[in-house]
Amino acid sequence: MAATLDLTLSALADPTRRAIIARLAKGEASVMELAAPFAMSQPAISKHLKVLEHAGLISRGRDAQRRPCRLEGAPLRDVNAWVEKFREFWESSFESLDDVLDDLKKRDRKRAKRARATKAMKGKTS
Amino acid sequence: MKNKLIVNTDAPNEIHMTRTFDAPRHLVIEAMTKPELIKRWLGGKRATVTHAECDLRVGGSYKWVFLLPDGNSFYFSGTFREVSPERVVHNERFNEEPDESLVTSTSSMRILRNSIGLAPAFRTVRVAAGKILPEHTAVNSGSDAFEKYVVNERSWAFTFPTPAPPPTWVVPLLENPNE
Repeated sequence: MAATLDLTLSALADPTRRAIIARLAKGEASVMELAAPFAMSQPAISKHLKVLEHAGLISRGRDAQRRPCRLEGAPLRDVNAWVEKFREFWESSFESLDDVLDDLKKRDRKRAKRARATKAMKGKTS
Repeated sequence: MKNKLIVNTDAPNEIHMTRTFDAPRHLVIEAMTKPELIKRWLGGKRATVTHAECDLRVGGSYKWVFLLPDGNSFYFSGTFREVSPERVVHNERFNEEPDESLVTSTSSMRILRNSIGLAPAFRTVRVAAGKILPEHTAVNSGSDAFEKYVVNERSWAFTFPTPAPPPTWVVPLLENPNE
């Protein structure tokens, strides 16, 4: 799981590859179609596609001429789960932090009350 | 009502999160930097902090040691690069991994308007709802009513090295067997 996640995340660390993923989310496309919006040669795009394919993020069709690229959902779901774990960890931490903050607020209110009482006492004696 | 944690992953190599705390900033900072307080909240229900050290000054270092329910242990450590009430910057390392991420924490004080209007303390200091307060205003107010309406919104940006993948520090969380 960890190794796969590393592979997925390093594949996604490149803006061109993310753009390709975004394009494929709308439907399958050939290398030529994918290269069109980029100022990049088809071989350069093919290199990016190989990285994506190696990470299991895309698959290529059998049609020898066109070999259309298709988005594969599973690795992206793992990334989603990764972010979700991150969110859950901090959400749970911050809920506990809220309790600590409540205690600190109570402590400060007590301190302020004591300070006011001390001040009032001093006012009476002087 | 629980305050919502907003996690945003729009920026490449960055996880951004924002949350509001119903407490003035100096208390939030205290809770986040005093080791005996950190142990009470960090990890929430998912992990326990068994050891915490924090030397909050530029060049000072910190270390949080976590224990997972399955008995596995891991730690984060780093050095503070910037320290002010508004902004704290430190690097973050998972165990002895060579990759490190940069964590930028920013904070803003905000006054909330209640259903009736502004709390009396606000009228005396003449600040509008939603205006960002300097730290000393809240600290020196000395009013319980005031504190109740001051919240601290904090944002964190976890920036991972590019183009390398994010460090492996979330993996123990992913492999939590209690799931």
